Amino acid sequence: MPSFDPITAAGLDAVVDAASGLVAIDFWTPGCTRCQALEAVLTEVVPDQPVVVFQSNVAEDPELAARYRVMSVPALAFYRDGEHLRTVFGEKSRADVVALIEELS
Amino acid sequence: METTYDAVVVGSGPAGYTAALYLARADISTLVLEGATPGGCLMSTSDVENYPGFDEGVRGPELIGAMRRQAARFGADLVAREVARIERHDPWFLVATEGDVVRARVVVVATGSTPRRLGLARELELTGRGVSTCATCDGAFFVGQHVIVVGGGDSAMEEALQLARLSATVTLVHRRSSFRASPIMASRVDANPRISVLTDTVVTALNGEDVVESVDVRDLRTGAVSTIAAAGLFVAVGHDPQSDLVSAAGLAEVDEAGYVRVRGRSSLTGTPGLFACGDVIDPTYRQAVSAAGSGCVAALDAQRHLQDTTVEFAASSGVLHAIV
Repeated sequence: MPSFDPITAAGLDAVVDAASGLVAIDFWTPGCTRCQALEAVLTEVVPDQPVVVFQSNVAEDPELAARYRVMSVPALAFYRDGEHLRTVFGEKSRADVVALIEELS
Repeated sequence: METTYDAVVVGSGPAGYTAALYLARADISTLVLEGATPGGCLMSTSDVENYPGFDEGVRGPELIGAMRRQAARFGADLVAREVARIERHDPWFLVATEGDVVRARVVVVATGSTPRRLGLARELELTGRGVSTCATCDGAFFVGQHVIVVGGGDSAMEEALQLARLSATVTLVHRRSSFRASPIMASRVDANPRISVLTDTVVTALNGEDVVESVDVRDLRTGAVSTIAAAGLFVAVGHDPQSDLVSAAGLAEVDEAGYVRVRGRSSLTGTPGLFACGDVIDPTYRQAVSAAGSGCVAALDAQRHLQDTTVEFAASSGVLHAIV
């Protein structure tokens, strides 16, 4: 970890505002095997999908997770045009992730 | 990924990897469909102290990693895919994943179990907002706070002990008067000054605006309801077998609780060529080592079936092309 660009609370606004289209933040903690599983799914699925993914290590940067009331990992928070759309928790299959991205795109 | 194997193993805990290890070592072409999240329950177990051969204990993910490598060493193909469907096209099985279909002469079902929920109103809504099933994953969110663990087995004890390292207090809530946990785990909980225990007690409600702030509990002996302030509720009330894949398709019979029925001490299901092992058949023992042993049994049963049906399969290769 991580496979995607890291993001911190300080950098979030800039990134989310600058991005056009769907942005997702993957919240994870070290030692969380469910997070590793989700990361593997994202690594496989995301290159073909209209979404930009960032990762946030909650153990290093609890502020960002706290801002979005993330209290469990893995969590995926989705944004578009600076607006927070939805946060989902737990393991996801490839089909789950693709369906989410399609729904929110 | 090839499209035809002698054996497909569905699932990737100790049972699945042990079955794969035995099959591959017997020179049987073997594919393990590991699911979206390989490893099974052991992946969220920090220290495994009762797996023989590891006198100092071993971390769950390390043990799983070693089993996985051992299966791969003998040539099993391992793919982290979830199985969508298993169909019988006599004498073959078709195993469908997201996007692919694999043919197999035998299928070993080692799909394990999923954590059970309490069934409380708002439990799903508050999952990720204070409700959790994994202290290893989520303990960091509750540093210095009050948390509750529900359950009376070893996994509840382990969750409580892990959380006690980080949280201010841990209240262990259990509906029975005594724990099902092993005495060694229960005595560690008893000895931990940060953990208090409420037996004969159930959680009846989750309170809080959009995160957990407190829970209501009822004392089953007196009927008294009280509220405990807590930021986190960790649910460790056991597991349900993941047998939908074979029960829905009518490939195997399941009991009232959903466990796949097997014949006697074997791994044989009602469908010839379909074998089941590990937690999905075991309502009683549910240990890493018993699951591994069960995986071995399934592999040996499958191996025998393959030997007994070699002629039949040689004759059916034309059928194979006709159905796929």
